[in-house]
Order: sequence, then structure tokens, then C-alpha cells
Amino acid sequence: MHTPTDMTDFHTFAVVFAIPGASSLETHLDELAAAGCDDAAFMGPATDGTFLAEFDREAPDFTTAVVSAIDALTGAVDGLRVQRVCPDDLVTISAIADRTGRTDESIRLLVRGARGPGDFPPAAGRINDKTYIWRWVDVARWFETALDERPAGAEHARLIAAINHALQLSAMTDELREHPEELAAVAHFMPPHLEPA
Amino acid sequence: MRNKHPKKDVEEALQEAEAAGMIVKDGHGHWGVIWCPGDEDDRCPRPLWIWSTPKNSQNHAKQIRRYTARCTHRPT
Repeated sequence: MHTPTDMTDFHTFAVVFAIPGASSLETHLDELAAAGCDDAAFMGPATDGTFLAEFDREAPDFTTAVVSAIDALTGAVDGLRVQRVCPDDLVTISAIADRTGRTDESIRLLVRGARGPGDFPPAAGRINDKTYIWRWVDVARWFETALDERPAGAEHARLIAAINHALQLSAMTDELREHPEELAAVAHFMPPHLEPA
Repeated sequence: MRNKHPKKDVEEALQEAEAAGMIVKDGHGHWGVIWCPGDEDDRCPRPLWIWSTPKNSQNHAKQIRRYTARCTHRPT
């Protein structure tokens, strides 16, 4: 017989965050534990000053796990700002190769259409003249539909991409409020059906 | 010489990490910290803080093993 407690599972993901003025997590560990984040491994700082929390969170589903983790982190330390959920949505050829178990050259051939059925998703942008980046959600979907392969973790690509976009927009809210015309322009493109039911 | 971690699962993972070249130091944070000494300027991946009483010691041991496995440096 299953009780609601039996129906939970452990979900693994990572969250990148920043704490203004903090050069170490050492003095914040008590607050993070008190907020229920002692199911995460905390790392940092990285060279860019950010920290990483790698969760193995018990929850009924992946979405609940990620949302509760972000809420717990945000409420744990004053000023803590969650930047993104990993694995990152933006990927290079090397990252695609790593996530799909192929070589870089194999991915280049797929991108060019020299191998596979073609129609690889268009790049989301480029970092410099030589380095293109793609959205993982697009790439993972293409692997499923075009090659009948499902890269590990691909089932969460859409949720992670959407949450990361929402987090980026949220981080800009204060600045946008100071420029009402820009805020109105952004609001113009907000899909009304994203409002929770 | 460091103290043993009170959780057997975690201690085993820490010993494996040390055998792989990682530095483990107790007496910091909740229990201690682990890091890769391979490149001081760009530590890989970055220092990991070890809980003394993690919510789930088996999962914390897994987290330490994942951290160790991800290191691409060659500790000296």
C-alpha cells in the first residue's frame, strides 16, 4: 500500500546563486540548513563569485523539487538571488556532445546536415565569430524527433529553460520599474496565458 | 591529520576523494570543506562544503563522489 510519502523520489539538479558581498558560504551554512537546504551540496565561490547548490531533493515530482528549492534558497539568506537552474539551457557544440554522448565532430556534422536527417535547430546566438550557442530545449527536442534519441535529463529541458527565462526577467524588474516605457514594452510581450490558473 | 566524519557513508566518500587527490579539511563551516588543489587560480569545480549532519548521508556521499568525478585537473 502506498502512502503519499511513498510516492516521492529524489530529484537531482543544481542552482546557481549569488549573495551580494559574500566571499564565502561559511557564515551562511546555518541559515541554509535552517531553510531546509541541507539536502544540497554547496560549492563556491566560483571565479565569478557565484555559488552552486547541487540538490538531491525528495519530492513528488521534478517541478515541485525545483520550485521548493528555489523558494527555500531565496528565503534563507538576505539578498540571495537565484540566477539559474542547471543544466544550463544555452549550450555550445561541446556541451551538446557531452550531453548526448557524441563527439564534437559528430555534432558539427549533424548541425551542418552532413549527417542525420538535417533541419538541426537554428543557433540561439553566437559568443564570438567561431562559437555558436543553441537552446538545449530545442536541441533535445530535435534529438527526440529526428533521431529518436532522448538525451539524459531532456525531459526537464523545457521547464528549466522557462524558469531560467523567468528568473532573468525577475532580476531585471527593479530596473525596468524605473523606466515605465520599457516595462510597458516588455509587458506587451508577456503571454497572458502564463498567468497561473 | 583530520578528524573522521561522523557519518560512515560520508567518511567513505571523503576517503575516496582524498585518494583521488582532493584536499579535505575539517573544522570549517558545519564540518569541513573539500577542494581540488590542481589549479589554485581556477579550482575545479569549486570548494564543496561538507555538512556534519546532512539531511541524507547517502546522498551527501553521492554528492561528494560526483564532485570528485567531475574534476578535470590533475592534482599535484
